[in-house]
Amino acid sequence: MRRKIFIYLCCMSLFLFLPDIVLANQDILSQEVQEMKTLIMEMKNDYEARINEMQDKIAKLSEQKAIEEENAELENELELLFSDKDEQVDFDDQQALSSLPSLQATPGGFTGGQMFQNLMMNISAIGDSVANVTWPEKSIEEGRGDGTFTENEFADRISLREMELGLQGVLDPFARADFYLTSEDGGSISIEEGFVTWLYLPFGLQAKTGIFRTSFGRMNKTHRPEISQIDYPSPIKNFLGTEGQKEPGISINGLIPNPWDVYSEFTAEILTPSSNRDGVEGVSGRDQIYLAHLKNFFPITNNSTIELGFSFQTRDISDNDNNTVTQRNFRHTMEGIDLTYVWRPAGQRLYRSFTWQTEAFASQREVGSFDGNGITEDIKDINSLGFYTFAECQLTRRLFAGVRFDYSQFPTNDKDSEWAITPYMTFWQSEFTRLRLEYSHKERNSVTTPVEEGDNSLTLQATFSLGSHRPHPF
Amino acid sequence: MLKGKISKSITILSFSIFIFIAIFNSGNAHAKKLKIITTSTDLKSIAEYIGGNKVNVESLTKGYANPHEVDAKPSFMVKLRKADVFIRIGLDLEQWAQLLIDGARNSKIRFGSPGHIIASVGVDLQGLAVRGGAMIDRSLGDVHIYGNPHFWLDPLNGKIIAQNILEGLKRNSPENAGYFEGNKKRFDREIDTRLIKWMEKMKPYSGTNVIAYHRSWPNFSKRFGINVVGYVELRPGIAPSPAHIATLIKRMISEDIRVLIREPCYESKIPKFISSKTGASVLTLPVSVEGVSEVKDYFGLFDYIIDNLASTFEKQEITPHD
Repeated sequence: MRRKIFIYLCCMSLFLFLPDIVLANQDILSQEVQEMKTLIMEMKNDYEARINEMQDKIAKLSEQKAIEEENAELENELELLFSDKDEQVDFDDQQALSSLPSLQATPGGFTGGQMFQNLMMNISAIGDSVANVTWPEKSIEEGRGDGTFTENEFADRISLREMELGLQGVLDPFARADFYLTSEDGGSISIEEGFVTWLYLPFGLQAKTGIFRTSFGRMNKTHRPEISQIDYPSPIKNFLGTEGQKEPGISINGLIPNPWDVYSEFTAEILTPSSNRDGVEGVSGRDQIYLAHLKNFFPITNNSTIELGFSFQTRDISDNDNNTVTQRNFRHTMEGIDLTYVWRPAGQRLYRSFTWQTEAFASQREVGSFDGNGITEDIKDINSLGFYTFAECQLTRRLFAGVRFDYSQFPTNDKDSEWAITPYMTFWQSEFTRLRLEYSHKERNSVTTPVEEGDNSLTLQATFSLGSHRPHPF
Repeated sequence: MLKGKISKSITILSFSIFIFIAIFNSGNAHAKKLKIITTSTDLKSIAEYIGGNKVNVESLTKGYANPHEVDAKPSFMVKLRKADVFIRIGLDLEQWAQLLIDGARNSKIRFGSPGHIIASVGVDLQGLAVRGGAMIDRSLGDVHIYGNPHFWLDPLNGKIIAQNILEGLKRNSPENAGYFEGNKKRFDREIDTRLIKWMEKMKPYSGTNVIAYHRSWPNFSKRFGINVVGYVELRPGIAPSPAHIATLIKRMISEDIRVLIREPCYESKIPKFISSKTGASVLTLPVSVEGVSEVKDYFGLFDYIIDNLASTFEKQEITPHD
């Protein structure tokens, strides 16, 4: 009985614990199977990744090979084409090429731009010759009255009016220099301009110092042989000097940033007036000219532009008599406005263009006299105005026609005035040689000096240039 | 109610900030592109190909304008002031360029700086103006003593131009060097592929004599076998005289020259007159991209020139030969 019970209990135990034993074994097995499965999956993924990588490599290599084969085929075809073709050259240059040492470009070096100009400045020369007849007839020495009107330099004459020698070049990575030497009527040589320009100052500024044509107005900065007519307009001659205004000084300019990307350049200058400037009293001592100019440039269309400028200058002027002790300086102030419209179609630039330019000047000048003690008295203001306007039309590739009208009072005399009308034609033989025929009729109105008749002149001008002259600003 | 207003305000504010950030970032992304100014539309086209979406390119001149006669406008200085790279032809073609560089006040693009690229370095030059060793002077007209500057009219020079531009872009944007090099390789393959077709099209007319208005074609002549045997301009830059036109007419009749090529920037009156006397066809061919409206890129320039030459030769019954 006991044995039966024992056996029964053993069987019961077995029955009870066997599943756990089996299950426990099964867990271990499952676990191992799971681990094996994971390992196999990882191996599979790894092999798949490697296979994909190799397939990509094979694809790339195949593509590269195809490209190389294609390139080789292209090269072969090109070689065949080039070897079949006889050498074709421009017949005009065949002889030239055979006689010239090779100047072919070499990689990485030759640009063609400065090969023969290394370390050399640009040298240019401009000759300006005039021949004119005037009526009523008068000699070159004859003036008019007390000097309100400058002597008429257009009396009958033929002359090499001006020869200008230009020396221009780069000084270093930061600055350049420009010199213009001039000789008038075969006389002594003087400096038209001579200045150094620093191009890359902080804040986008540029500065120059030396003798230079001032930035008052538009035409004043252009040298006389290069203006659109034979001579400067009356307002420039009367307000700024017979040959415009050029002075020793310092000039600083910068572009004014704006959201419209308009070219707007501000220039400030301090100048020391020369003692013998025509038409204006000489100065001495501490008198300086303070000048400001604002230039704005607007492209209207692809073919037309407008430039609008504003100018201002002021200075104290003192009596140039060293024996007089002035108790008060007088002030001379000038303002100017300039407007230039240019139409020049890009596709027909050689043949068609139209230019209209106008400048107006205003002058306020204090004048007075001094008593025996040097005290100023009888102070009064002289307010004067002047303007010119011209229009020029291009008729053909080489022929231009234009007309200019001047009106001007005088800074030292607001009672007198003069006006002139000047039609002209210009023929460009090439960009280096120019002929111009100009007629000018001038009338003068004077309270102090009666003028019975106007002046007429017919002038032929020949202007020619040698060497490389830096293009002038637009 | 108040809560609703506040949440609405916050939503609007958040949306606005998001828009602002998006615009600011897109502006920034745009600003990261290299700003390139070129002196010709051909350089613009090649620079756009090499630079891809990493550059913004603008040309100072129009494709139909005379490249020798360009006004150095102050408005160009404003564009150059903001440029990272300036690409020019060189060979004294752009005498006006130095004025613009000085006025731009941008030290990145001045000569010798990384942002200054001259396209003519290493190109095959043609059209030197010397006569039997005599001195070069202006009696030869407005000559370019370093070689004819219209060298881009040889597709193989186009590859050299592209190489110069590539080197410049790599200097200025080294992080995109790989991208630029990939584009350059594609450019070269495109040139090689198309050059074969162009040369095959021109091969039958190899050796055909033509007259041109201006000396724009020496490099094109060398590559494609067309002989330019005379010019309407007496000398480069010198307007033709009646005596010269009369001589040219006689020559065209005696030598049976039946095609006169005129560039769009030159007048048409004299070529038409010559055509009326000789029976020759006047063919207006652009020398630059966008010289006519159909030409949109550098490849299109050669497609246009060669297609029109071939059709004109055919029209004039110029016999093709092998």
